[in-house]
Parts: sequence; C-alpha cells; structure tokens
Amino acid sequence: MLRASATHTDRPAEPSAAAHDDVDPLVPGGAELLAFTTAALASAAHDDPTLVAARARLVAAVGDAGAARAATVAGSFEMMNRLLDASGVPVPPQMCDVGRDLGVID
Amino acid sequence: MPALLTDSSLPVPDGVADEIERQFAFLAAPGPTLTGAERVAVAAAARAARAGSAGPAASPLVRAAQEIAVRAWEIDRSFLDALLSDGLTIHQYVEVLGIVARTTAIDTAVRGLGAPEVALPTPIAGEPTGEIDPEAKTRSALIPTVGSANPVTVLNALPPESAHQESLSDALYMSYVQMGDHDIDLGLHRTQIELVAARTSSVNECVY
Repeated sequence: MLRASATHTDRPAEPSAAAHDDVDPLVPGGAELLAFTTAALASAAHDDPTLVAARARLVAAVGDAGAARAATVAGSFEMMNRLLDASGVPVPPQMCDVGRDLGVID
Repeated sequence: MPALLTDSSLPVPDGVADEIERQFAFLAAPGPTLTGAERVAVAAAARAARAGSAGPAASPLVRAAQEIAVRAWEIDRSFLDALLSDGLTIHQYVEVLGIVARTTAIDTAVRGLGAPEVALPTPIAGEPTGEIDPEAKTRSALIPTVGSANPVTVLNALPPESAHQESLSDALYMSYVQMGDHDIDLGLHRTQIELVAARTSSVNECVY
C-alpha cells in the first residue's frame, strides 16, 4: 500500500526502508515514524524510556495528531498481521515483491 | 468502566476510546463458541505471553493464545492439528484468533499513545451464543471462511468476531471506503500511514 499510495500521489517513498534502517524512507518524518513504530511494538509499557524518547521525537517531526495516528496504525497492523499469519491466508503472488522488500521472503 | 485514555500523552483520535470500550464489552460477553470467562482468560494469556511472563500452557485454548500473541508467523497446519487433537474446535481457534489479534492491537495503540494498559473487563456470565455461519468452509487457508480467505473474510465464519475486527480497523487505521483514497490525510498522510504499517509488518515478519 505504501508503493501504491506513493505512485498514485506522485510522492517519493522507499518501501524497503521498512525493513532496513540504513535506507531513507523518503517520507516526511520517515525516520521518526520508523523508530517510534519499532519502539511501540517492542516496549513493555507506555512509559518505557525508549518509547518515550521516540514519541517525543515523532511529535517534533509530525505533530501530536500525527504521532497519535502512528500509534493507532501500528496497533491495527498488529491485529492484521496476526489474523493473516495465524489463519494461513495464502499470500497472493503480487505480494511476494513486497515480502522481499520487507525482508520477510527470501 | 471509567473514561478511557484520559491520561494519554497524545491526543486520542476521535472514536478510538469509545471503540476500545465497545471492544472490551464484547470481549467480556459470551462469544460464538466461548464463555465470557474463557474469552477474558484468552486475552490475559496473550498479554502474559507478550510480557514474557506466561507459564507452560496446559489447555489448547491458552496454547493457541500464546502462540498467536508472540509467534503467529510460525503457526502452520501441524500446530493447528495438535490443538484440534487436544480438543479445541476449529471455530474456537477462530474465536481465539480474533480475541488475541484485537487485544494486541488495542494494547499496542494504547501504549503508543502514552497511556497505561487498559484493565481487562470482568466476564459476563452465560453460555456461548453459537453464532457460526454454516456457509463457512475451509479452502486455501487453515481456517473456514465464507468465500475466499483474505484480510476481510478471515473471521467471517463467526460474524460477531468479523464485525468487531472491521470496527476496530476502522477506528485505528481507516474504513474500507477511506482505503480507496491514496491521498487521504488522517493526521498523517497516507504514505506516512503505510510506512508505519509496513514497519509493523516487517517486525512481525508478515507479508501483509
């Protein structure tokens, strides 16, 4: 969907950045969004120092509302990832390129 | 239940707190195949597994919850067959999947927003409702669905579970109608939203 959105809106975006921290995502606030997402998934609590710092940097980059949306989107995909993996829904062939971008498929 | 997320560090997007309250009310009530007590116990087992504090799972219900919570990408036919041979039904597995997936979504969103974890609800007494779609069949996926298995149909063997997946996705991500708008801005532009989605999927080793 990142690739589709970037193509439709003629905005730069590099999907492989989702899996590789040394790749520039080319999206405004991209590095902060990636760091916050990783921290939100990995932290044990809302006040974990790594998450608190990542949240503050994200707010500085995209504002309060943007940071809040990032939190809810990460939550939503925690749901979808589990639903699809644990149900064995087949991966459509066109998704395989995405899987390689994300480092999930060799 | 007291007002939710009033102590959040970030402004809570419209509808999110109300949706979480609806989700937890649904969690507490008897579901299609499980009692309210079993449903809340499944959510608690998932939380404990994610926190690294889960003990050995005696029941297939708890084993399913733990695995979906922390190693969903490793679940395959042999894991599911072992659960079924230990007495779990395939529809119970679908219900556990929905409960764990939604609880994890809520917990991650709340944590990210900067609010303390929401307490699980007190179970409501009663027998399972038996709301199972008789048209659901196992085809290409591990579980039965009505129609081909995909992100929209994954829980539709149990209509109330499917409806609550959709309403939570609407609140946390966007509605199916909004998904058609590649230029939408919901506090973040669509490209920024999808970058967060892609990083989440990468961390979870999920192609979707």
